[in-house]
Amino acid sequence: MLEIKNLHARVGDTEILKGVDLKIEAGEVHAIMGPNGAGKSTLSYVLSGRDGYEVTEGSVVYKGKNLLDMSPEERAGEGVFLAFQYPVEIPGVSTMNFLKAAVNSVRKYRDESEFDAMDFLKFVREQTKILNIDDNMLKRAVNVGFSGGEKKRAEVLQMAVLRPALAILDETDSGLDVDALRIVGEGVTALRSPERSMLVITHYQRLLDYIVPDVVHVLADGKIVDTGDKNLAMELEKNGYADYVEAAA
Amino acid sequence: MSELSPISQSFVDQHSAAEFTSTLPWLDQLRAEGLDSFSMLGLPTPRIEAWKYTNLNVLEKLDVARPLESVSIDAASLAWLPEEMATHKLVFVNGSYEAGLSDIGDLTAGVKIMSLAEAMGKEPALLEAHLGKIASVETAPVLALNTAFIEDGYVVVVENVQLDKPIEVIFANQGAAAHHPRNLIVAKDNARATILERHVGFGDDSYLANHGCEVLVEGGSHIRHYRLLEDSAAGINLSTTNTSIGKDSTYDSFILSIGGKLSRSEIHVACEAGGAHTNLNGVYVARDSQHVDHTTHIDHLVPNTTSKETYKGALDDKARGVFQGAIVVAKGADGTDGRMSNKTLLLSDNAEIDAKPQLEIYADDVLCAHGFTAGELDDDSLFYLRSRGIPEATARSILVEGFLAEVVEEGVAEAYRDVFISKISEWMPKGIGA
Repeated sequence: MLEIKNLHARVGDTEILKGVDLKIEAGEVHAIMGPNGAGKSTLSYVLSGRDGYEVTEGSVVYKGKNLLDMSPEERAGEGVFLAFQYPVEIPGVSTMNFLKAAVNSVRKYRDESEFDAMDFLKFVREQTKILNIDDNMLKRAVNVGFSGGEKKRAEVLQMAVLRPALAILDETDSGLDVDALRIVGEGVTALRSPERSMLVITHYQRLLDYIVPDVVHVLADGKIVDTGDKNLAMELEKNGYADYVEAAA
Repeated sequence: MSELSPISQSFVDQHSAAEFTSTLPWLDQLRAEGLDSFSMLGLPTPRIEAWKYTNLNVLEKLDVARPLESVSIDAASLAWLPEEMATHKLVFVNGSYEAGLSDIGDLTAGVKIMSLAEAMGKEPALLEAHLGKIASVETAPVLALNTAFIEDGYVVVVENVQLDKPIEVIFANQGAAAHHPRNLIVAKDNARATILERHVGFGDDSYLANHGCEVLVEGGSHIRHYRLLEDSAAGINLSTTNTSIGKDSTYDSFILSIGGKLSRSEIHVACEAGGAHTNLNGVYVARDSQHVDHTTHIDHLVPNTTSKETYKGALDDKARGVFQGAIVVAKGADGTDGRMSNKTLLLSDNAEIDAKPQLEIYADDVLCAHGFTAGELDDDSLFYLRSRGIPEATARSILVEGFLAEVVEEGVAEAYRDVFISKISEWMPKGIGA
């Protein structure tokens, strides 16, 4: 599904990723944990194609294609989805219209027929029901005035309707209280499937109580420095990142 | 008296040749005052502070003396509201009321809707009581010009009545000429009415539509005044609106400026009694070398009056926008709350906005604020949409439209929002600003 080899990337003059190697098979859920400043968010932006992140070395192959050659919208069309740490507020654009534009864009890209307004409404309502999202959210402007929990649930809703093959969740637990964390975690878990891989980026172990990973990686100073199973996350929760940070420094 | 420019002189000459159908003595006097004032001032030039950014030298190419051939305008090309929306409709072609295209319909007690020309015969006392009373021509040359040529326009008077259907007014222009419609809106005694104006131009000739509008809202009344400016590519649209708001009354104004070579929509509002409130909102979109000017002046004259003002625009190519907004709080007008905001998206490196927000506060206990921004589309927003699969060009359109639609949602009653939002959508090509 996804193979990252010796990935180096920088922002401006600062090298942030210093040789990341990572391989994710279809249906697997990988967690990337690490201290602040390790390069976790940079990795998510490089994978989703944000401007300003320059890849200087290495490769990213996704479903056999060079991911780094594609525009952000092509990546989305190919099935890459990034759940943002800080979802962006879009005033004046209703969540419903935004979702419809997004879904029909990727359907068009995938040579599927576009939804008309009625079919789309039905399709979205099925998803909001599963995720326990109030339909009123659909009428509101995208993320405008949403609470932290609502923003993250809206991200999960976008993921549900776009049906990605690779979902990258960037610090999805940040800003959530325990109840919101459970709802979001269960929402994501409901979207696990044999065809869908996930890369869960988090500083804390707590999200992984709800989204149980197959593989856990530790990212420190721009490199994967350790890999294990879910028990590695438990250890990190107990011992912190001090050992890795010292070793990397 | 300094010498008038050729174009100003040609207006004066045209006036002396004009034969006005109505010869009410007070009206002749009012026109004469307008002409005097205009003869003194001439058309404004950029040397005058209020006209620093909008140059009317475009009028020099206008041949106002040319006799106008009669034009016939197809009723279908005037339609702009949803078919099922019933209205009291008045159509003006080149400034004159066209009964054949209009349909005022039945009116209940307390409602008067008619052309100004008709009102001169039927309601002279009403006109005498209001025309020229709200607006002063002394320092307003463009309004003075309008006043000199008062002949037709629309009159709406509502007293102690809530009008269910909106009043639809269409000003259609075609052919090189200057028109000076004069409009009057009066709402008294808990009256409510909505006025929807469409200004539209046809053909390639340059014309001047120079509107004067006086609005009186008092005794707990509420007027909504929404305007759509869709003049033709060579059309020039000027309007001067003077509004007086009385006790516990509200004047809502919304203007969507889309067309025309040059437009200037100037609104002066005086909040004259406690509880007076005004919402002034506007959206402007322009491309090529269009010039669009919104100038507002709000006077808070007494304690406890409020105003809220939001203008947003998107300018592409070499288009130029102007926003001048003044809020003046008089001495003793404590409890004033005045908010003004102007935001412009510049979609091209050659587009330009000149913004001049101005607060003059002579009272102590007031809340006043103004905000102004101009810039490009936000990169974070653009990436967010693209990361959801939306192609860049479409993403830009969605963001521009959303940015502008916000004002429509804020400033336009729900029943009429789609009319304006769909006009904004039509303006937006896919791939704007790309």
